[in-house]
Amino acid sequence: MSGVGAVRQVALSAGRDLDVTLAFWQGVLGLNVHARYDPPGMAFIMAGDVRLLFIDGVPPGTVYLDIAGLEAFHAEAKAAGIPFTAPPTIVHRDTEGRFGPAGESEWMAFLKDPAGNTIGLVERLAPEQN
Amino acid sequence: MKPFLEGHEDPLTVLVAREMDAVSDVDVVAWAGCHAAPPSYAEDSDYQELLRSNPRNPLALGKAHGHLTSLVARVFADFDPSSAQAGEMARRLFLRRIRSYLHSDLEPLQICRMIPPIEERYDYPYWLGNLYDVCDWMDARTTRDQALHLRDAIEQILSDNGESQLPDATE
Repeated sequence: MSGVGAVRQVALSAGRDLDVTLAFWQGVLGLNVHARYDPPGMAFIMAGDVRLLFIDGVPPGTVYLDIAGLEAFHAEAKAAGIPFTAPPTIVHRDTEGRFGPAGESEWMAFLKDPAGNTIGLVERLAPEQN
Repeated sequence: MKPFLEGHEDPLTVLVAREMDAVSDVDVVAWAGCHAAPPSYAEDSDYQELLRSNPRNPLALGKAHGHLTSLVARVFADFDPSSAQAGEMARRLFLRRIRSYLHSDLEPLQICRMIPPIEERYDYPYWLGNLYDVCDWMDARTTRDQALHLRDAIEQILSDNGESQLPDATE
């Protein structure tokens, strides 16, 4: 029987300047550096229980993060000059309740960090909230 | 590829296009830059702000939609963005936008993200066809090659609406 379980860690590109990348995650997304090891030049940010590892030598990746209040976050970030590659939009209507309460919709917006990692911000909304 | 907005459109058309996410804030600023405004709003403060906006400045872009909305509210005070008139403008823009998908490098999400605002504002219009289902799970990572069914759906919608699939003069 497999003992494989939940996601523990995801590796993302540190980009050319780890400081700049981490500043984006802290300043824009509000996620602080949990640990940093320099040398060799790597850092961890906790996204819930999952470790995001920022390290040189891996290609830019994609990570989807839960957010509460996506529309308000987008409006505020946009007013602050943060560019989004895609504004909030419905990506899936979970009519059968396959990924959560039936009837909810998944809204996503996308932006890129300075390292080129794609960040999908995800919020599930009940029908009356759409 | 020519831009979707060429400059000859009036502010009402641009606002409808922006509110249904057929165009972006960059497109709105670019439109202002090549639009020959009539005297009725050429000196309008919000129009002037759009003219001065730098499309490479995210802060300025973040205000573009607001300037356009204010311009329309002041100069076209009788315009109701949820009216039948606006709905017909939206339908024409939508059909033109999806047709442009067939002849350009638009990403699938640029088509699919029009659905929620159109549904909300125009009460689930028939002319959306089955894009509601076709766009399921299409996000910013979805490529055109992964979305061949979107192309099929667009061709069907154009056919159902009596529209040509050939590029129009602006594409």
